[in-house]
Formats: sequence, C-alpha cells, structure tokens
Amino acid sequence: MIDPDHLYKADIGSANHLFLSLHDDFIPSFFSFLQKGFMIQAKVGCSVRSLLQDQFGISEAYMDHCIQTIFIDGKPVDDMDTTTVQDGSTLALSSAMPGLLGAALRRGGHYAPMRSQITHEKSKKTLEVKNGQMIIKLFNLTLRDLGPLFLDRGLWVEAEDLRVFFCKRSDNFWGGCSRARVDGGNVEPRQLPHFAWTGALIHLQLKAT
Amino acid sequence: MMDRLLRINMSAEGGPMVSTVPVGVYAGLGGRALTSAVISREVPPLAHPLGEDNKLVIAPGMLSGSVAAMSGRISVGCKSPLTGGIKEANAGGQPSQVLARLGYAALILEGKPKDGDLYKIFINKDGVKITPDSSLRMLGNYALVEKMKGEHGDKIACISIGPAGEMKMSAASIACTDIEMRPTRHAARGGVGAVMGSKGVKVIVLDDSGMASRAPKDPEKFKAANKAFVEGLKKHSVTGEGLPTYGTNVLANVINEAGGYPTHNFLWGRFPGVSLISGETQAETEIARGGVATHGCHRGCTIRCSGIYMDKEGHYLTKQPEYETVWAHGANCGIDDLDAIAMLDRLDDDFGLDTIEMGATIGVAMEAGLAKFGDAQAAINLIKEVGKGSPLGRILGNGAAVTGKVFGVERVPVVKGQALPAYDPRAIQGMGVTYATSTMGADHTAGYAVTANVLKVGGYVDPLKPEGQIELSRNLQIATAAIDATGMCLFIAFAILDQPETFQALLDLLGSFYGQPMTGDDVTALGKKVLTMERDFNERAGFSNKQDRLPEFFKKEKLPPHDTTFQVADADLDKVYNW
Repeated sequence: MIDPDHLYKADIGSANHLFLSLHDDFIPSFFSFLQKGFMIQAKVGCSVRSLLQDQFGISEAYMDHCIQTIFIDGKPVDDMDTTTVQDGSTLALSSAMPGLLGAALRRGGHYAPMRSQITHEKSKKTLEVKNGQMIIKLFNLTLRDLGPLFLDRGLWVEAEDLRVFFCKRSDNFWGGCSRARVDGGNVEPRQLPHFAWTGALIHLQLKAT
Repeated sequence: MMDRLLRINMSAEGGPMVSTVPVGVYAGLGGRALTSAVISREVPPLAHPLGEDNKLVIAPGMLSGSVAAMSGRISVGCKSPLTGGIKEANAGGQPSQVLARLGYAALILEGKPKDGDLYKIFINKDGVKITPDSSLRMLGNYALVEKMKGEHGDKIACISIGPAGEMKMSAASIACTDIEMRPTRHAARGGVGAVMGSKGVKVIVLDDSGMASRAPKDPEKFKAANKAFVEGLKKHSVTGEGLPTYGTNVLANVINEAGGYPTHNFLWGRFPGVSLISGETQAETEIARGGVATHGCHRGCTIRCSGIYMDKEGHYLTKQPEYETVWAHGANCGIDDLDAIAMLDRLDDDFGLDTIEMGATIGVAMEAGLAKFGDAQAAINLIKEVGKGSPLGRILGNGAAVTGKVFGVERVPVVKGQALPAYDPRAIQGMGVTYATSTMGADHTAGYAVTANVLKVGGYVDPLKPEGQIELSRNLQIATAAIDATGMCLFIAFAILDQPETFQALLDLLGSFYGQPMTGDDVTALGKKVLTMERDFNERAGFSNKQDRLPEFFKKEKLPPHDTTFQVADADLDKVYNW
C-alpha cells in the first residue's frame, strides 16, 4: 500500500519523468499502481464532483451511475457536491460493490447508517481553492474505465515500485513497448529495469499505440 | 414434483433403512425454511450434535431443479457441533438441482450407525442404494470424487465429506461438486461436515439421468418471468459487470479502504498487502495463467462470480478463492501471497474445512505464537496438521474458540463459538449487530439480502433514528431467511434492490411456479417464520441474550485507522427479535 506521508514528503521537483509508448494491450498491467494509489497535482478545496468533472473530465453520467462508492481518507462519502477535497487527501473511487457491505458503503445508500461511525463528515469551513497534491486510488471497474485516462494524463509513483514492476515484466511486454523517454532523452525500453532513477518519485505518462 | 422426503435411518438394525414419505407438514417449504423446520420440530434441543438424536437435513431450494436462473443453492441443516444451536449452511454447485429433479424436497439422515462403518449413498430415478465402503476412509474430497466418477460416470453430482468430517471436527464442511465435477462448493459453516461424519456417511452420489426439470404450474408466465429476471441481473452493474469480472474478492480493496478489513487477527482494519491479494489482482493472475475469471458454480448461474485458479505452471489448483477465503487466510494471517492462499483454499476443500473458521483459527494460533503472522508456509503446515488429524490438528480443526482456549488467547473473534467473517464490526457497526444476534453465530450472510427496504420488511426504516442499526439488521435477517428458502443465490439481491421490475420478476417466478401469486408480505412472513423457529430452538437449547454479544475486545480495543469501538448497547441488541 502506498504510504501517503512518504509520497507527500518526496520532492516532486526532483522526480524523473518517464514517457512510455506501448501497445494498448499492456496498459492494464499498470493498473496495480492505480489500486495501490498514485499522486497527482490538482486544484484542491473544491467539491469531489468539481474535481472529477471539471479537472479530470469525467462525465456526469459516469459519475452518477458508475462511481457508486467514494472514500476520502478512508471515510465513505455520501454527497459528491458538498464534500470537498483538501491538499493531502486520499480519494478512492469504486463502482457499486456486492454484498451488504457493498450496499452500506455506497454513497447515500439505504444502508449507509450501518457505517455511520466512519462516514466522512462535511467540512464546516469554506476552503480556499488552490494548487495541491493528493493521492488517488481506483478500484474494480473504475480501473478499466478511468485508469487509461489518468495514465495518459500522467501521475506520480514511487521509483522503487516502478523498478520492481519493470523487473517483473516479460519479453512479451517489452516487445509491446515502442518508445521510452526519461527526462526528455530517449531510452531503450528494455533498459528501464536497470535505469538509475535519480528521484524517489517518477512522473509516469503512458501513450497507448 | 418435489413432494417427498427421503429419510435414511442409519441406526436401523441390519444396516441403514430407507423410507420415502410425503412432505406432509413441511409442504411448501424449501431450503433453509425446510431444514430449520425439521430441526426445530424433530431434534431434541439438548441432543448431542454428534449423537443419534441429531439429524442432518439436506434440502434444495423452492425453485431448485427448475430452469429458473440462480436457483441452485442447497441448504444443509442440523444442530451445530460448533455453536450448539441450530445451523443452516448453504452451498452452490450441482447437487441442489439434481436432488430436486429426483423429486426429493429433502434428504434426512437420522440415527447413527452402530457398526462404525462408512457408507456411500447412491440415489437415482430407480431408488436408493446404500453400501458400506471402507476404501473411502480418510480420502480427500478430490480423490473421493474422482473415485465416484470412476464408479458412476461423470453425469453425477456428489455431496461429501473429507477427513475433517470423518474426524468429526467442528470446522468440518460438506462439499458439493461444481459444473466440472470438482468438490469446490461447500456448505461450510458450523461443523455440518462433522454431523455427516457422525452419521457414517462419506458421500451421497446423485444421478438424475432420465429425470426432467421441475415443471412450473404456469409455464408461459414462468418463462417470461425468468427472462425478465435474467435481463435484470445482466443489466445491473454489480451482477452484470462487477461480480463477473472480478468475483467476490472485488470487495477486498473497498473494505480495506473503509478500514474494516480485519488484519492480524482483528488487530487492524487495513492490510498493507491488500493490492497483492485483491480481486482485481486475482482476476488478472487467473487470466494470465490460462485460468478463468468469470465462471458459474452451477448450471443456470448467470452472474458467474467464480473462476478457476491455476498455479504458476498453469495447472489447475483450485476454484477462484472467495473474498472471505482470501481475507481469512490472507489479511487475517498477514499473508499477501495469492498462490499460498489458493493452496490453503485447495487444502480446505480437500480436507473438507470451512475456510472462514480455519483462517480465523490460524489467526488465533498466530497470536498464540504457533506461527508468525505473514508466514504462509507455516499456515499451510498448520492446515496439513488438521488433515492428518495430529493432536495439534485436532485442536485447530475444532475452530477458533477451541484453539483460543487451548492456547490461552483472549482475543478470539467468535460469536456463539463461530468465527467472525471478513468485516470488522467496529468499522461497520450494523454488521456487528447481525454477527451478535444471528441464530447461526457470527455469519455475514445472515443479514445479507439487501432487499429489506424493497420488501418493506418491518416498514420503512429512518436512517437517522438511533435505533436504525437494530432495525436494519432485523429486516435484513428476515429478508435473508426468506431468500435462503428459495434456493436463490444471495447475490441476486442487488438487482432486486435497485430495479423494482427485477424484484417483481422474482415474485412472478415463485408465483408462476407454484401457481399462486406471491407478494412481498408473503416473503416477509416466511422470513419471520424461519427466524422464529430457529430462535425458539436455540432458546430450548439453552441460549439466552447472553450469547447475542460480540467478544469483549470489540468494545474495548480501538480499531485503526478510524479508532472506533463497537458501540451498540446490549439493550439495543436485545431488541432485534422484537416484532
């Protein structure tokens, strides 16, 4: 699991930037980063709905029908319009889940009282809209539906996690990678497992081909 | 017609005696409603669970054996050796459909063999044949089913016990074969396998060759209702997409994020390695190895929330381990290795053990210092001890409560002797109410049918009322008891919850099949009737409100990350059965 404190303390300014072009089929192999959590920069102090719609470009229909379960800092959210995201928040998105617990965790669901002890409480003060950093986690169907969007947009992950990930890739994977650029310079994709990253974070951006 | 009871008296002079009798007073009941009615009416509440006076009732659901989608659950009832109260455990797989097509509303094993023999029961359209077969002794479920295939072909369905059932362990399950004739679907909870073992029955082989599907009273309306029902399941995001894509373990990330994923024997609410064992990772692993991530556990399942898990070399290892199993053997024991968890699932299925009980037991054993949290090989070794029946294995095989007592562990997560499943009640308090008050002991499925508000069970519940948790749990338990009687998989509940037309289709299925319209009120009445019978049995067996409580540590220890304790008052718990 990603450690938010660790990630926030890492210096984004010293992060390496990796741009990788690869076949569409291999995009899902990066989903493990998305369920663990990745960091982004965004305008914070706005509502969850505004963040998802205005900044991430997620359609209203998708938000209303597909993002059925939302957590901020591990607390289930019931109202996307009145709940605000703050600098340093962890936002997790999920589609509807099975079982009684799935029903209880759904936003605004009939069974929400079953988890009232941990429900996210609305902020009582108006927050200033400003630039900030936050952790995003995508679960289940949102991985498939929103994962490519975030990977295309670019996100920060820990360099060590990415190194381990690259070391575990097969020949088949590397055969699907057509181009890699690190901090603006071309790199042979197969060299990525051995690349000497200089920062603790990597800004990862994928281009599906 | 499913209008007969098959009673087998294992105590009879000269060997087991078979009698086929009309359903009589049990007419119109199925599944859990039928098993609980028989146990409540016929078993002395103070009987020893492994004695001759206990009975093992195996009953298909009300719609089993028909072509109704999702109708393949089978209920197994008895007095539980684990809880000392009434028990109903149910399973998927093929036996429910086959037993129903053979015309039996229930198979009831009575008495206890005097000779210590181990029996095989074979049932087909021509009748019942019971033979002692010592060659079956201590076979694992996989080898046993292979042997049955060799003897009877591959068109059969089997209900069996492994070595744990033969050794009468309180965590022993009863295995049901799946579509591929593998013993992967288990009526697992409460030690039902031990009761089957006490009856001296190793395996029940069912062959419905020559038998037709059960016919509805109104075929046209039934056909239309089934079509609407299936369409409703397929168009809903949970039953049509989420469950088929990722299986039940799709819950792991979400429950973990909520801080309600019990870790290291319920010490924490989050597991650092959850992404390594999540449903998303599991499905990706299965597909990459040539397994299957979308698979039904019985014919007629349209949700297909199961899968097939292959080992690293691409060979079959086990069915896709369920959310509860992955949690029990994973986070609860600090294990983040999916292959090890799959191996533990395979061993549980083969020995015939409840994965929830065994995961909780190993967690308690780890707290006692028998192994370190996170040591997957040690966990595998402990389960193998159970299979061997070593002294240590005998302790572990009798569950978390016994293991906790033997090794002096205070933090033992059980209610009425049965281990808590994969949701910490300190994070989700409403679940704690059901764990505490269920007639079954701690059981996540006891209040699982999220249809209570659709059914208007108990009227509308105001979520803002302080007693809301009690009312929600009560209504959920009533709705669940009713669905358990139909033989329907509980996962249909989501489509019913969100789509009124799908709920109507379910009512139409039942109504057209039995030739009399069914309403939500009828369903509610059935659920209440079942719970009342079960509650009454437990009271006569010596239970009181003192058993309707969570272990003390849930009230005292704060659960990170939300630092909550279980706060529902005892006086409120006592109100659950007030209706």
